[in-house]
Amino acid sequence: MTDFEDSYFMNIAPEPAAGIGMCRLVVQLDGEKVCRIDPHIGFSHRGMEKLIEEHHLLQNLVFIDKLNRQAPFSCVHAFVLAAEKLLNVKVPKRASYIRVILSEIGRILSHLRATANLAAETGTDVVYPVVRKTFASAYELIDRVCQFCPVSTFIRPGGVKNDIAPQSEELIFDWLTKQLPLVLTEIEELLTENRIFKSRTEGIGMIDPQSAVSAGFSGVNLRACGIQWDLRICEPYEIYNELSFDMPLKTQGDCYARYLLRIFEIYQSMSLIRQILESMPEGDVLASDFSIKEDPDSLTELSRRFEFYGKGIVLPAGEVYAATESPLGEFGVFLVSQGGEKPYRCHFRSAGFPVIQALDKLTAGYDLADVRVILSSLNIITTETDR
Amino acid sequence: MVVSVYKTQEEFGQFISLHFAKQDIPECHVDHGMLTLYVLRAAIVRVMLFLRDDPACRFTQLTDVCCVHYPDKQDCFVLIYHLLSPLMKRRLKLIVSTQEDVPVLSVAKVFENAAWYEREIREMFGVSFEGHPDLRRLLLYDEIGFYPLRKTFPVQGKDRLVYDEAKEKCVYVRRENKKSVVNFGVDLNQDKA
Repeated sequence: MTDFEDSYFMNIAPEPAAGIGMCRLVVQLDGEKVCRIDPHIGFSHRGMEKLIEEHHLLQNLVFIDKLNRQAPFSCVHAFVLAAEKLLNVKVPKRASYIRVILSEIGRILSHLRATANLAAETGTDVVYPVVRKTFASAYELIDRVCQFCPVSTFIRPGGVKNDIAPQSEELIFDWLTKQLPLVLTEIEELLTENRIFKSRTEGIGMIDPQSAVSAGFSGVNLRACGIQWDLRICEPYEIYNELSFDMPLKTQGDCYARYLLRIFEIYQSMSLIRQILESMPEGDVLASDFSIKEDPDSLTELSRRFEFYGKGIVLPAGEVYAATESPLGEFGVFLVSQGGEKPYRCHFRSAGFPVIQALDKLTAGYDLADVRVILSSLNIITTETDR
Repeated sequence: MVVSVYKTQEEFGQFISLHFAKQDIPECHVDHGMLTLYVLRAAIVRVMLFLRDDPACRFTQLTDVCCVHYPDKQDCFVLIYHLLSPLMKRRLKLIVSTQEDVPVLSVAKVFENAAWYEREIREMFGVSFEGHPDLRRLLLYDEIGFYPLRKTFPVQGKDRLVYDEAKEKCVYVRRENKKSVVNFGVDLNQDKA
């Protein structure tokens, strides 16, 4: 604490900092230089893990979606995978394809928002209005594709709730080919070779590969340091092993590398969705044990429906860990069941938790003005971090 | 990527447990595709250091630490450490069990990101850690007097806030029943009396 004689403390109060949510930073400064940062989290802690112990599987889906609203489907997907591992269900092929399409749309949205935040922190506010138009069109697209099912319960154990709308393949294709490329070229023209943007991000917030791994980084933040680790390729879930894509890497490990990787990954997600749309199989979208027929005349169907939604699905006893490559990094769910409808314990491994912990290491030696740039380039969402 | 000589998870588990005394790793099996090692409480740091530094293991990332409370068991807190080796594409989990007043050795010196995970477990379950650099509260406020994620703690909370008309202020009243009955403002016992 007393390493620097003239150092003083500054309290960056709980405020929606750098587009990440509520977070308080106690910064020790030596002039303009940051010596030490003590991040305080917990302002959006909602006791999600305790709530999940009190509700059954289908009710839980509604909570879990609220963990990360910036990237729809990313958190529910991991939870559903964990539950399916425990239940030992085989998901129909078509449902897997639909899930991957929706996850990749979510990834595109999350990366676009992260890019817009980073641009706003470096002083380029014009990216926000560009991105906001895409958001509006994307949420409309998701609504139409899911046939106006509430987004949080669309992906559910056993598959997806209903089949996608009849013309949705054309809708998605139009969105990918007509709207997104325009937005992306606009963002790239504004930022990639922009001298001010480069001077604010190049060489800022550097971290070397060894300390990134030992600090628990994952996702884009890890790949920006040159570590080849992408769960979609290394531990493929759903149908990612049938798609052809490579892992973009950067070795600099600074804010600019993270920005470039996000733009690469948006293009990659676009190509993934295009591949899926070309080879979409026909068939069921929900495993037969989990589908309820809408038949008002059959009394057995009605009572089954009542039991299914009221009582819930019985989870076999066991412990599982399932992880997905969410846009922020590895989002994992550790689910413990003792053989009832409600999970005995559910723990979320959030991607931002270890990253915000390493903020001290990332910002040491940089200016105070760089703190918010580094924070927004890491793409942390505090609702997901605090749980 | 490095290809490991140990093809199956069971072989790999055997390899790890052969490096330690029998009481250090008493049990080792594969559970839902994940290698699971039960580790003695006193040996956790040694096992972690071996797993991190041994060239055949290289578990360089601590993915997650979490705790589960089993109030009926004698060792009522079970800590679960998830390790990941990006080089070998392997995962495993270590299980350590402890009691309420028996501290666990902190692994924050082996993996630096364990510090916050242990802080969270300390405030949510009341498990104490030995050799931890900084055990302040993380997610909750400082004055909180209970451990919320314990199974013995009700989800509605132990106290409830009511308005005391005599005192003209809000006071905390202890809940009588463990299970709360939601009666939507209608007193069901009224008809019987």
